[in-house]
Amino acid sequence: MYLKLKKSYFDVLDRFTPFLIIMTIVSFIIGSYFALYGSPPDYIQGDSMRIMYVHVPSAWWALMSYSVLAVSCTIWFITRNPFFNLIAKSIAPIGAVFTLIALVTGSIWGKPTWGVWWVWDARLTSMLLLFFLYLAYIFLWQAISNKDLASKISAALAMIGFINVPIIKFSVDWWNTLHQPASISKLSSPSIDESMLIPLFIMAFASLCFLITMFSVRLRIEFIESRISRLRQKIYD
Amino acid sequence: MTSPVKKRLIKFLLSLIVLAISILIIVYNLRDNIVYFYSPSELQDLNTSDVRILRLGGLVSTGSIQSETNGIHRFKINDGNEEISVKFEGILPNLFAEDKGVVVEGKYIKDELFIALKVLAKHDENYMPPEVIDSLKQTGNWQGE
Amino acid sequence: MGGYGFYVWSSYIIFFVTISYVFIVNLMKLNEKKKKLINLEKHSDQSS
Repeated sequence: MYLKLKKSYFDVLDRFTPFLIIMTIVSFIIGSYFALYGSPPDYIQGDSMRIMYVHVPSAWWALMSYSVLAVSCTIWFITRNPFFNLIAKSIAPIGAVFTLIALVTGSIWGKPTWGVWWVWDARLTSMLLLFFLYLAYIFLWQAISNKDLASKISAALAMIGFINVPIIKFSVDWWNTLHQPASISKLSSPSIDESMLIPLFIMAFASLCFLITMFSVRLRIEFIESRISRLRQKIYD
Repeated sequence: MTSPVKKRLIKFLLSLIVLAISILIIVYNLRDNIVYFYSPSELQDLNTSDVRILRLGGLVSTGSIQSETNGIHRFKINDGNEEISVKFEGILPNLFAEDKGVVVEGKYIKDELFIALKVLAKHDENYMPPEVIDSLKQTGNWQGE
Repeated sequence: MGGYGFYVWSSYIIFFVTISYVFIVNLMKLNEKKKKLINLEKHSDQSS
């Protein structure tokens, strides 16, 4: 089955990219200003809580990216529409980068707060597993030369690995973990002061803009790659 | 809907159910092993005859911190019901304080004494600027510890 | 930064360096693939 998508759809993405890049840069500048200067320090953690403004959005989008990956793999598995394979292949490396950033910045925050860089509690361990799931998905595509087989195996891995997403989300509620419970999901009395929510949301928006920019670039790479391999077949057959 | 799509959908749903059941069984049976630390109440219910290294977590009791000049610290950890005394030799983390969360790693020996080898400060989910905390305390609306 | 400067600055630097690196690498890859596709399209037009 070949891609039914027209090249012109992807040319539209080309025209949007400069706009997306500007949005990303501007919102990161505004967000960083509020995160580093325009907001108060925490009453216990002091200024080390400013790490939270890059850590928490990265963790959010890492989880969201994996959900997109798992859903598009599922749709591909059932319908065999190759477009969903392209979506999955495009988002996986972006999600892996966000997961790595969340792990590293979390570790840098853990040292001054907990007193250690790393602990093997349920939240941190399941987040590390998420990173390995992303890596496994990416490596499976590279390791298996038969593309049909690679699609099936990597889709199966992505779907099974989705179990990890609710485990990460609820690990802090289900088990005793060193990592604190979520501050945002609670609807009752706010766990984060408004003056700290503003930089958090701006940084989250900026990170999302970056994710969308990267996704549109990577989607075009994957699309062109699939066209190249199809053209090659035509030429050498 | 074409028949191969339907077939794959059924296969997918079937494997999803099998997977969900097996994960549930695994998580249910692992629930005690995934616990990162025990509360003082849970620790006292445990069979403490074994001397394996475990972790104890809770709040540092008010007025219980005693620091000696040779770097030995004694404090109590409580969970509202039970209280366990802890002895630790070393440097305490910056955020270690009375009425704040803490997780200690070490050995629980009899007479309700816990010998800690490592002390980790546990942070809660509240993020507030200092001025807000002061005004909350003044108006009596502060619900934190 | 009240004694936490090292931790705060290093996490922001790691964050921005990583995402800039990822962005540049992918943009370069896209341009490279675009060139490759144009060459191949020429090639296939000639052969057909």
